Amino acid sequence: MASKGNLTLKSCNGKEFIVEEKVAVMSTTIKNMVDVDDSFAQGVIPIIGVDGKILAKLIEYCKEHAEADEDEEVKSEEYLKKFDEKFVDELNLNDLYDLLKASNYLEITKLLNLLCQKVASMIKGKKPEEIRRIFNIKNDFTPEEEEEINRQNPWAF
Amino acid sequence: MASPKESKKAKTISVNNTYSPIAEDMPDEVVEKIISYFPLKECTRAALVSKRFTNSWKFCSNLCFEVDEQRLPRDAYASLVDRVLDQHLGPKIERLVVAYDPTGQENRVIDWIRKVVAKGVEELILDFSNDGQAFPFSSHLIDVTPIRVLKLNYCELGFSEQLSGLRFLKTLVLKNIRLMNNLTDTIFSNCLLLENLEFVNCSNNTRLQILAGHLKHFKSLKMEGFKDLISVFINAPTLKSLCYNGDICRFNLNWLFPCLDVASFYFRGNRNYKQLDGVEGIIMSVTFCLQLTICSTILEGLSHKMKNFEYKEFQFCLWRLKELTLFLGGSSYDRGTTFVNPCDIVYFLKKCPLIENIYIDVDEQRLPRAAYASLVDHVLDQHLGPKVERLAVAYDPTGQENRVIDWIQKVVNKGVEELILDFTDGDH
Repeated sequence: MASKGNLTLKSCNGKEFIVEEKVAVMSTTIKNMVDVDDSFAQGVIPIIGVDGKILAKLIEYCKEHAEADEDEEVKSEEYLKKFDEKFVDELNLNDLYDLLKASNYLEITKLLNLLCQKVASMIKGKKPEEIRRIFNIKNDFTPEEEEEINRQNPWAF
Repeated sequence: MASPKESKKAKTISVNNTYSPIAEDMPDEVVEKIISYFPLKECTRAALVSKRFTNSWKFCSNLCFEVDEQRLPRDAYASLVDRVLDQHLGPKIERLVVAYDPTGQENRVIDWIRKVVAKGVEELILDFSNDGQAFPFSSHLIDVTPIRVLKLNYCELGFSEQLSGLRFLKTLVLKNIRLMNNLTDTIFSNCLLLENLEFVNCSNNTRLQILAGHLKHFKSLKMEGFKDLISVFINAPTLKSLCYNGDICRFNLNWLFPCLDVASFYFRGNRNYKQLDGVEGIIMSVTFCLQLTICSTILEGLSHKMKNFEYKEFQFCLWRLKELTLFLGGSSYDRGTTFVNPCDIVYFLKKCPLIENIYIDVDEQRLPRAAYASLVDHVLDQHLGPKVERLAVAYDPTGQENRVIDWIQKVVNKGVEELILDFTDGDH
C-alpha cells in the first residue's frame, strides 16, 4: 500500500480534490486502484461519471466516517448516526440518485446501504408500476405471468 | 483542500414533494438493494416490477410478518414464515416481526428466532397472542447477536444474569409478562445503552426498582397497567420522559430529574382506597418538566391539608412547565365522591409561572354544568401568566351567554391564538 499521504481525485467535469488516503480508501474501488497500481497514489485518480458536486458530497461523508473509525472517542456511534441522518435529509432526490450511483460504482458500502435505506423509506408503498417509472424499468411480464405471481403470494396482495 | 467549502455551499432542498424524478441508469443491483429494505409484503409485491426482481424478496431484510389473520389461518402463517426464512438469500435480516400463537409450536418459533439471529437480526418483535400458553423466551436464544430493539408480548422470560446479546439494546418493551424479582437489575447491569423501557400490563412485581444512575442514554420510562405494584423506586437522572398509568402505588423519587421534559402520572381507581403517599415527592422531582399530565389523585394530595394539627401548604414550583393536562375523571370520581375543587386547580396553576397550555379533561357526567362554569371562572380569574395560547371549552351556554363572552374576552386580552368552543346541545 502507498504511503499515508494524500490522493488527488478528479471529477468527470475536471474538479480536483486533494484528500487524505484514509478518506479516499473508504471506497473499495479506489483502494483497489491504489493497491494495484502505485502510480495512482502519486498522480491523479479520475473518478469517471461523477461530477464535482457529487464527489464533494462523497468526500464529506467519507471524511467524517474515516475520522470516526480512527478515533471512536471523539466521534461516537451516536454522533455518526446523527451525521448520517442529516446527510441524507439534506439531499434532494436527484442528488440522492446520483450519489447512489456513485457510491455503488465506488463501492462505499456503508454509504450505499444508508442511501438505499433512505430511498426505500421514501418510495415504499409505491405500486410496481410506479417503481418501474421511477427507475425507468420496462415491464417484461405477460398478463398471465403477472397473474401467476399474484397467485403465488396471495397474502401480499 | 477545496472540498469542504464547496460541499457546504451545495444547495440543499428538502424532499417533500410527491413528484418523484426519474432515476435513469440505476444499476439493477442497486434497485434490488433498495427493494430489500421494503417491509416483506411490499418486497414481495415488487416481484411484479420486472422479471429481474421476481426473487428480490429473498433478500428482504425487514421481515415483518404482519398479515391479516382473517385471510391467513394459523397454519398458513407458520408455513409462510418457514418458507420465507428457508429461502432467504440475503446476508442480513435486520428486523423480524411475528404475531403468532405459539401454543404447541414452540420449537418452530425457536427455530425462527435462531435463523434470524444467525443473520444478525437487530430488531426482534414477537407478539404472541394471549390465548394460549406464554412462550418460553430464554435470553440464550439471542446471545450471539447485538439486538437493538426487543419487544415481547406474552412470554415467560428466562433471562440469565449475563445478557451478552442485549449489550447494545436501545429499546425494550415487555407486555403481559410476569417479571422476575431481579429482572430490572439484570437489565440495568447489562444494557448500558438502553434508551427506552416500557412495561405494559406486567405483573408479579410488588416493588419495581429502576436503578439507572450509571446509564448515560436512558431517556424514556413508561409503566402502564401495573396491577399489583406497591412501590416504585426510580433513580434515573438522564430521563427525558416518565410515564405512569396504573393503580395507586407509592413512588420513591428521591432524585431530581434534571433533563425531564415530559411527565405523566395517571392513577386509576382502586377498590381498596389507598391514599397516595409522596405526592409532594413526585411533584418536586419533576420540577423541571415542560409537559405534565396528572390526574385528580395528585391534586388531592397537593391540596392544603391539616397535618399534625398544623395547616400546611406544600412548597413546590414547576419553573419550566408550559403545558398541563389534568384528568379529573381519576380515582376520586370512580368512587363517586369529589375531592378536587376548582381552588385546587387554581392553587396548582399559581405554581406554574410559565404555563401556556392547559387541558382539562373533565368527565361531564360527573361534573355538573354549574361546576364546570365556575371552574372556568376560577381558572381565568386567577390566571397570572402573560399569555393564554389556547382555550378549549365544551359547554352548553343557554342562559349564560354573557358569562361565555366574558371568558372569551379574558383570553383575547391575553392574546389567545387558538379558540375551540364546543357549545354542546345548546339552544343558541
